Amino acid sequence: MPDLPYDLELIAVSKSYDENAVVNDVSFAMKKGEFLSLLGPSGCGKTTTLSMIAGFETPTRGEIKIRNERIDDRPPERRNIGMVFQNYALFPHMKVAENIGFGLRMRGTPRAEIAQRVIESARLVKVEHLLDRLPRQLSGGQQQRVALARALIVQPALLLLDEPFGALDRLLREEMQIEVRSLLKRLGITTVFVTHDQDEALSMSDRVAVMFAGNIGQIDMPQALYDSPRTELVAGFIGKATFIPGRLEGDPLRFVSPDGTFDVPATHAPPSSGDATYFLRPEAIRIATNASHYQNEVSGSVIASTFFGDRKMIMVGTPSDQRFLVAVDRSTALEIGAPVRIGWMTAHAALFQGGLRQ
Amino acid sequence: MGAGGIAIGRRGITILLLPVVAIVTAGYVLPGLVLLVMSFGVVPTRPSWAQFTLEHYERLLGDVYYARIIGYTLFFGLIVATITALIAFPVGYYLARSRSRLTSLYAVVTFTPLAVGMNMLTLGWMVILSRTGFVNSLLTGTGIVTEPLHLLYGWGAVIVGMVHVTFTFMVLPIEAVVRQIDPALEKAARTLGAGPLRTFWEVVLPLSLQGIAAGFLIVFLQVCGAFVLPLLLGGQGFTVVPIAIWEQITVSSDRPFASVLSVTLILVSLIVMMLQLRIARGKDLV
Amino acid sequence: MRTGWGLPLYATFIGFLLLFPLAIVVAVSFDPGVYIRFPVTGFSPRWYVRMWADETIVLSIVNSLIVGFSSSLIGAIVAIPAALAVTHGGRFVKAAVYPFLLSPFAMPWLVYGLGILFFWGLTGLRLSLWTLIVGHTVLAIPYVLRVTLAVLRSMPPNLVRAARVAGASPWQAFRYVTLPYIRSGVTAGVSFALVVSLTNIPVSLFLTTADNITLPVAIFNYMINNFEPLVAAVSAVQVLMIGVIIYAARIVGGVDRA
Ligand SMILES: Nc1ncnc2c1ncn2[C@@H]1O[C@H](COP(=O)(O)OP(=O)(O)OP(=O)(O)O)[C@@H](O)[C@H]1O
Ligand SMILES: [Mg+2]
Repeated sequence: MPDLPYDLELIAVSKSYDENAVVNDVSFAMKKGEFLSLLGPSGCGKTTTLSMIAGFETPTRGEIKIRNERIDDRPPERRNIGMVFQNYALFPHMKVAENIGFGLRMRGTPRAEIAQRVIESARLVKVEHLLDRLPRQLSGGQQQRVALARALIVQPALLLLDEPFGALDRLLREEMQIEVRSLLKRLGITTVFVTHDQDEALSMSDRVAVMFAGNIGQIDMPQALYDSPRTELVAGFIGKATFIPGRLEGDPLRFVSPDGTFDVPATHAPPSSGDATYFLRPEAIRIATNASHYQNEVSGSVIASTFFGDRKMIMVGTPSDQRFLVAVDRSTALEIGAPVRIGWMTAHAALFQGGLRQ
Repeated sequence: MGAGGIAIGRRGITILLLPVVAIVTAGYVLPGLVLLVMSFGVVPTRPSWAQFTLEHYERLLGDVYYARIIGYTLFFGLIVATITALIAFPVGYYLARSRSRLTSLYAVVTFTPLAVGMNMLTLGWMVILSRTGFVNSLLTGTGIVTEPLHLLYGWGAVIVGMVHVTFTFMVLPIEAVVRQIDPALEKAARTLGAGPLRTFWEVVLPLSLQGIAAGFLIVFLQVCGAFVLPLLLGGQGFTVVPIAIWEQITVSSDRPFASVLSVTLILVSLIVMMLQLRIARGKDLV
Repeated sequence: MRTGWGLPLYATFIGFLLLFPLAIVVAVSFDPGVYIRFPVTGFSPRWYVRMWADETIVLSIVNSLIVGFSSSLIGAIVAIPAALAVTHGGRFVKAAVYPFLLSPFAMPWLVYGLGILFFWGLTGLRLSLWTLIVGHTVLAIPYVLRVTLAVLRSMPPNLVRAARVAGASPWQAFRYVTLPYIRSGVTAGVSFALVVSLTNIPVSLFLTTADNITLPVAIFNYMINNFEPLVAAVSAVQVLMIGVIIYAARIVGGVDRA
């Protein structure tokens, strides 16, 4: 790959609070205009990572570069970053217009120009009719927009968003996701987005970095993350799935479990005999009929059924007490307790050994 | 300021604290030390071990008169704090719970004792309780009594006055603590069959104890150190430690002994303050 | 929950009792006679006129205002940085320095005044307004510190961060975000410290001479030596001053906008 300039680079960044490692060896690089999500469970170090990029926290080790310049010694106000905080952090004593124009005022921009650009920024996020209000006179969605305008007005090299939609209801949230994404793409602004909502991360991002306990488990495009998770942890965190514990045995190697013996799916690295986990997405599993022909089949009974409106999911339990999650047609009518036979093609399965995908 | 971080570094903290620590040290710690040194008979400008003496402390401990004064002072503090707590609790509870528009008015009214100054309150009670004052005029005027009663001067007048003076100190922490009690708890108790009194006793009171204790200690402290009102409403025979200190200075000019009494009062305050810190544990109830 | 009539009635009664002595003093202050008594014998502004001819009282009012404003403002200037330090400081600052700065609040005032008297005597300096200003500043510090700290604690830490990423220097973030946020709290603390100074007798008592006498001490002296309705009139004026100050502080501080 040619030596492309990156807008943001993290090189082996770590942070510990008195011996307590909170972020561990995190590295990634973002090209101009890229939208990257940091996705992970609560407390995994997402905010801490953002704080280091913004300059609120100093990394214990590692390097951060913005547009190819090391910024470790620069205070937050000299990093040219825009940031939207969880709960927005709008200044409660300033009107919307003052909030949006704050960054320019700090830079000593002439008043007339500030007024002009505040209006432009406000238009961008459609709050131009709210400029005279105080933050507490705004709805959550409006505050959200103002916070975004405040971050964008300084034309930052980098935009940081910390769970910006966390406080919105579901409908508004989905609307904002689409709108913000298209706005940022239009502006071509490099964005780091923090969330613990996987749907949000998958639907908005160019790439998603999945974090666990301070480490990045995998960084990939959304579809790749879902289809071929590299570790068992990522596989479990992204989407729903069935995991079957068992062993690899024999020659040729086959996967042996109480529910049967299955062929080994195609692997990146040659697997070896020993403990392993067999992995199936709900979409990979079908209900087997007499006519169908699957490479692998097991029998069990329906133990739960959940209707999601556009789709339906059933849980099938086998005599050995293994549970399979199966995506079925929304019109499928299966009583709880009904016997059922399910099957899948080996190509649609994956195998993990030692926590890693083989 | 650490490199890039926005936390204020050690040096920043020190710089921010320097002026205030300087003023408090010069204006408060040094005078305190002077009192301490003088209570041992040492003249601070020309200190020498030869002057060191415990005789003033011996005098304090050896004389039943002073033991009684200290006892009176503590008893005075306890009784006023108890009465104030009993009177103030319902008011604090009401201020915390009521959604009436009048509550802001009540809040202003409960604040007046702190704001108007000791001379105003003292004067007011003097006029109310004196021989030619409000109560006696009322009683003689209506013929209930023929001779004016001796209401002013003595324990009764001082206690009434001090309850008034310290009322705010008691109401504020009680109000704060009741505000923190989820009203749903009381509703829950009621749905479970507890009457209003039972609910108060089993739910509200236990959860308010911290606030009551905070108020109690502040009031106790204020009463033990009170001077103007006890002097003017207590009259001749009423002596508590602050009045004794004042007499040592203005009548006997005995500075070392006034210092001994002062150190005693400071010790009481320090003990109460330790208790306060323990009870507050980071929570700000005043 | 419905509270019924008992509680509001009781609160009203207590409120009435709290105000009653003040009303009595105001009534007495209009008595034309030379004795304080009740019921009053008439209505006359005589004592209100008389007090302005009394040099001690006029001087003491001026002195009190000087001491009160100086000490509460100096107290604020040193206590606001201290409040920032306590919010950002470590264990030692929170557990030792903070209680130390609050401790003047618990010190018996008369004892404190005595300490200052002895201390000042040792330095050989004359008692002056400065003596009082230093003493009252120490009293003011806990009031301003407490209120400011409470407001600072309620302030979301992200506000300062938001200011900083938007390009504000530490000073600008303080000036444009923190200071406006704490303004109403600070003015409340300052006005209260001012009231404490304007009403304090015990601390000032030993420190006042004919030159630097303060209003409450002047009133105290009158109450001991010269018990006439003049005392009531001066006290009423004092309360009026306090009312004006508290009201003005609410306007300056603004209603809590947070
Ligand atoms: N100043 C600090 N001192 C000590 N530990 C801290 C500090 N700040 C954060 N931590 C710890 O670091 C870990 C990561 O915190 P962080 O705020 O980055 O999590 P997060 O991924 O943003 O979580 P959430 O989704 O809940 O916001 C947490 O366990 C937290 O307790
Ligand atoms: Mg977070």
